[in-house]
Amino acid sequence: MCYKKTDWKKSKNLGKIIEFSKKESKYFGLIEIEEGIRVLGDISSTSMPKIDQLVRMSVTFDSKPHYSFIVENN
Amino acid sequence: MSKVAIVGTGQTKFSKNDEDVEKLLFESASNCIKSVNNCDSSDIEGVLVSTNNNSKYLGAILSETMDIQPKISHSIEHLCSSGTNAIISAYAHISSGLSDIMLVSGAESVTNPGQVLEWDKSRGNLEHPIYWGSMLTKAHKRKFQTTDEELAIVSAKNHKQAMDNPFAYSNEPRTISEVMNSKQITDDLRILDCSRSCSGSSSILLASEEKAKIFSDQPIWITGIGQKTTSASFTKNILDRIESTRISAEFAYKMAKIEPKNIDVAEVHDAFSVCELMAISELGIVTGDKSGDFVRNLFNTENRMINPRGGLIGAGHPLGATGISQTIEITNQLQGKSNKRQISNAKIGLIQNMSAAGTSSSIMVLEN
Repeated sequence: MCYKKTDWKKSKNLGKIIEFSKKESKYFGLIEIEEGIRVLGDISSTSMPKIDQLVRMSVTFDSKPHYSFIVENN
Repeated sequence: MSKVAIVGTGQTKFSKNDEDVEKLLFESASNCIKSVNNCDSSDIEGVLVSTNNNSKYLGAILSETMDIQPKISHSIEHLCSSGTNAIISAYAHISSGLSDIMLVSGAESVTNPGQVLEWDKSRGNLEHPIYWGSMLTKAHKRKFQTTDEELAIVSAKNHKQAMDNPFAYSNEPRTISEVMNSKQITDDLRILDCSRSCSGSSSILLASEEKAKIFSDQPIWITGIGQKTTSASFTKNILDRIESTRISAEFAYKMAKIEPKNIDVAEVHDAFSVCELMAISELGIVTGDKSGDFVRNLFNTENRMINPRGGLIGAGHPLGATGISQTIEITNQLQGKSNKRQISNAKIGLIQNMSAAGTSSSIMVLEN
């Protein structure tokens, strides 16, 4: 939520990995999807992710957003 | 503007029991008033309560249970740094001349869900602090080659130091090996790298310069204050830094007219092991790449300079009480009353208390 002037635009749904870790068998990480916009989400990858790697985002929503990312060119 | 001193302190033992926050507040506040010379409830002009509990009107409730009718009473919530925020608010009341004597009491129940900042939708469904804790830990490892052992030393040190803290939720020692082999939460966090929510309460009494000597033979002066909020959402952080601590410390040092090398003893906010390494670096006590070596040396030489009461990891973390408990420890250190935890010849102490992955910090410098 922002109380200043806002512009809406469609996301390209692409991001890059800023940092990542793993819980049980699933990677998760901090992803930058636009300059200055970062979210925490799951990362699907067949191999260990890398910093600055490009990922594609999908978002589902129940009571809160659920960000999921797939490594491009997995 | 008046100088402000801490003239009384009181705590409850931190525990994993579910307890009423009103009862906890009363207990620590009563202990605090008993610690003060010649203090009657009618002397207290302000009552500030620090908590993340959903109970209403706690400033007035505590006042009534303590038979106080203050000019000022209200609650302060700022997640994990509620306590220092309440102290600094009380400082401002006294310093400005609005009152001479203020009671600051913080409490939390173990069942309070206050850890999760639901507003921050950038965390998605990964709301729990273990996720930001993992990001900070991984980033610190990446930048400074921090090892799992160096992180485990923080926890082992603080658990060891908590053994001599009668108010800690646990007095059980933990070896480095036990920490490194404790239950894995994520690839970068073991359960013993994490501070634990618990029930507990801590209270202090603050007084103006005019009144301080009436109530205490050893008033401890608040000589430096610094605060900074950089954001509410953690995802804006530079992951290997706590900018809010660095900026707050600059303000506090300037006000106190000191440098980091003048700090004799400090309580810092080790929400996770990595946070202690980051805090001592941002406070200028050590450079970032040397923080692991610094803590290793403290542990090996049994030097209690950092987190003598056990920090959050060793003593427990009842959110609203933590900042006040940190302050009580430094007060006791400067008064020479810390028993087995005592640092020799402590003259200047520091408290660093932060919230929500370090998006805001409060720093205080105390002197005797």
